[in-house]
Amino acid sequence: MMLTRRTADGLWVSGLLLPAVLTVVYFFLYPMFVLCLTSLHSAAGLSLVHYTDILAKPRYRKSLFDTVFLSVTVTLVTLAISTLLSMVLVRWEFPFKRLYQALITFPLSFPGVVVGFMIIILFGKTGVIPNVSTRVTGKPILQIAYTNWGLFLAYLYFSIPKVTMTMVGSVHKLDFRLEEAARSLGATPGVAFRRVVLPALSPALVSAGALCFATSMSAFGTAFTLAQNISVLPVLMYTEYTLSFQIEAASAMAITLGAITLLFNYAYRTIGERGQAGA
Amino acid sequence: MAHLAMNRLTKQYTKSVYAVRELSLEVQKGETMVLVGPSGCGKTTTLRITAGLEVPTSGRVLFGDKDVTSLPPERRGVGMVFQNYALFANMTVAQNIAFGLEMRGASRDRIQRQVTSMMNMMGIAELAARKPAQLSGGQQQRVAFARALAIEPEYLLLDEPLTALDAKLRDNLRVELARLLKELNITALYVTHDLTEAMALGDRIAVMNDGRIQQCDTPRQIYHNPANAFVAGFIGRTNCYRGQLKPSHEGNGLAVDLGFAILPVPDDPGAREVVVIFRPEDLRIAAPQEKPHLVARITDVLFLGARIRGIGRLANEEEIIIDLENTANVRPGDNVGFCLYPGKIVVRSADGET
Amino acid sequence: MVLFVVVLVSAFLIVPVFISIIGSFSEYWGLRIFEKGLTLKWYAYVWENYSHTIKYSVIIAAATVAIDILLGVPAAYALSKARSRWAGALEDVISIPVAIPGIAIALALIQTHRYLSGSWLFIVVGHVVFTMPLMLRAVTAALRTAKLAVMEEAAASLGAGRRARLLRVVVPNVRDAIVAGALMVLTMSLGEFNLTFFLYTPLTMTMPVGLYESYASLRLEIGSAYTALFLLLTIPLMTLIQYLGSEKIEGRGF
Repeated sequence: MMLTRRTADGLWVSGLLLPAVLTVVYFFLYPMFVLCLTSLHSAAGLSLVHYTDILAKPRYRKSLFDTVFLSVTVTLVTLAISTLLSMVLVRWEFPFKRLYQALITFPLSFPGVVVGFMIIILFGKTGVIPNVSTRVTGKPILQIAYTNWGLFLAYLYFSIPKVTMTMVGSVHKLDFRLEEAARSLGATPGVAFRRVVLPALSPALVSAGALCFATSMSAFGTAFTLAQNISVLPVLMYTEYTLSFQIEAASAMAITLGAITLLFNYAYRTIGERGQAGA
Repeated sequence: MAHLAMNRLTKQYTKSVYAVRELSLEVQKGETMVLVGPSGCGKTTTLRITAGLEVPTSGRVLFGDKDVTSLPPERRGVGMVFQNYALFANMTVAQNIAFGLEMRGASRDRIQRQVTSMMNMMGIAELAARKPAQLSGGQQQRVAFARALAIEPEYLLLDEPLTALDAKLRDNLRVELARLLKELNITALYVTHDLTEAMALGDRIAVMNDGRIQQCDTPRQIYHNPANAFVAGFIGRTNCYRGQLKPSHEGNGLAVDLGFAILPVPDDPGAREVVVIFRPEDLRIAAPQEKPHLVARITDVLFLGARIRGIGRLANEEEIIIDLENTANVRPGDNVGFCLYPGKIVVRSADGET
Repeated sequence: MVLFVVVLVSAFLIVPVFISIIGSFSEYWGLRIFEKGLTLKWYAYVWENYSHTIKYSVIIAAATVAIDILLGVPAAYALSKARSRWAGALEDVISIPVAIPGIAIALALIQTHRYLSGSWLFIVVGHVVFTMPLMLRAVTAALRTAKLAVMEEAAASLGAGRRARLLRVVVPNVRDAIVAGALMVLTMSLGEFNLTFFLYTPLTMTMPVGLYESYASLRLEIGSAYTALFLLLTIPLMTLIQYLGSEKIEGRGF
């Protein structure tokens, strides 16, 4: 059988793709499908009960709300700080700037547990801040590593570098002449920032915010290391699975988290690209 | 039997978009055939089909008596030089040149000898260990040639090899290239949009437009006997006018009524609506006692060194271009009568293309 | 005012890393930090008790990179050649795992491939699933440059078949992209915790898991020493990546 050139080319291309595709199918798509099935499994056949439980059962509901609340606040604060930081990085010149930039992006490579540890170092029982303040004032302050505030700070610790780096590109693209025009017309720096810069950055802010939210919702290691009072959804999923053997509930939580992060990642990508095209 | 032949090649992309239409061409052994034409005329597509880089919708490509239409490029045994050289960035010059021989499983010894011989022939022996990124445009071009010729192919295909070079380099290399093609006596298919290149390098030229060959002939023939208005226009600055064929008032023969003049023509183009073509240098100023063939009002005079170019308006306001000796005495505003040199007029059917 | 915030935030991010590293050399963690002198005993402790985690982390990361290259480079090449819409869709499908939390992927894997549990290969599988898109993207970007397409045509005209073109022309010219991708994959694999935590056993512990253990149950000095060792491994990689100029560091879950 003589193959036409087109068919032979097609076979070659498919052959090259096959190992990667098979891997993704067998080790990702198929398991995710099974996970879905498990989450829908109940004594009475297929049912959404495990999903509704997340809202129905008080413990689950609290975890969901706590996680969302934490993620939203972290996102908002991070956006504010990161915008500032990214503008500094783009517009200021100072010695050792490259070193500085490298230093504040190192946390990007830290696993969540290490981020938790950094918070412990700063705010733990024998952390730096309590120790120093004991020396100075006789009383330790901010021993908050294992509290909700500690968790919040930990989430900031990994979000700020990530969002800053995402924003730097968009800040680069800002036309500073627009701000100069505003200033020449009498606007103070603050007003110019509010009325000229922020609107121009808004697509970047929204898309970076989406990314930040998705990351915070699905963060596990950090919470596992630090949280005592609140139980974020990823950790709840873990405990339900390993301690209570509630595999269906855990699966439903996993799918829910997956859907949320997928959605927000998609938003990050599409809004980000639209922003790039417009800018 | 032609050494290289294309038989009714057609390349169709959509219902109405054709790159090449029923193109047939024969190239003799050792001949350099140049495909020339404006952008989009299908010359590059034709070359790529010959190389096997594109598959025609219908038609055949023949190497001698062998139908190679369905052979993939790696089995055709042609040497190809690309417009932007396409040198392998990860290999040295020597490795680039050796590549084709390696693919053919030649012995280390033979590769060595052949590579050295090619580099000497192209004058690049001292560049053997450099990478393409370290070479100038002209050097890269020589390497591209050496690489294509190293495998001693029966056919050489060249896709606008000089277009990427700057003008001065292009002129120099054109001369070298012409000499090289002559010496090697290889059958070559050469694509360019530059007419001067085509005229200088081609044993025969195929002028293409809209996917078809308009005329295939020696450079001299094409220049003096363009087959239609398109070819005439493409070949260079020319004067080209529409008119109607009539019997000549002076008794025997035919004439064409152009509106601004009636000119006798030597042969019958077989249609009533015709175009008449003559070159700027085919006119001279009419002597005082002569009856001029046409009269023009000069609007511009350009000094071109060896010649003077006059631009004028005819009675019907059409433009005419005349090249004269630089001693000619014409000035803008003059009304001047001109005569055509005998036999210098070409008449073709106005129904444009073949 | 702006300066104050910037300094505060920068200090917040940078200071604990250095303090931790400094503290790892001290006998006693506390305000009188160097009063009792310098010591390496915490490092010795870490080495005695956790050196196997370093070994496993490295093995798993290396295996992940190797598999990513073997699967991802041909796939990237194939995708760059395919002209149909399927190519874009396929690339998107392969990239979905990046947007899914590691814990979800892990839970899914546990339920379907239980036969792998207990082996370090299980962890490799998880790592490959979410790092391969990275390698794919890095190589695809490099392949899209037009020059490569013409080089392939030239190679074909010189007699190179499909395999020869791939191995002799395409791969050498995307070598830089492969290296950049490999570095990113290494960094992500070494630092991966969420997914790994679900799939590990005490016999196949990686560094992040070991780090967690030490943070939860041991002294700050030991945690610091262990963290310092971890940073020793990952910071050079990060520096190399920055040096080679990869702009987007998307990172993974925390």
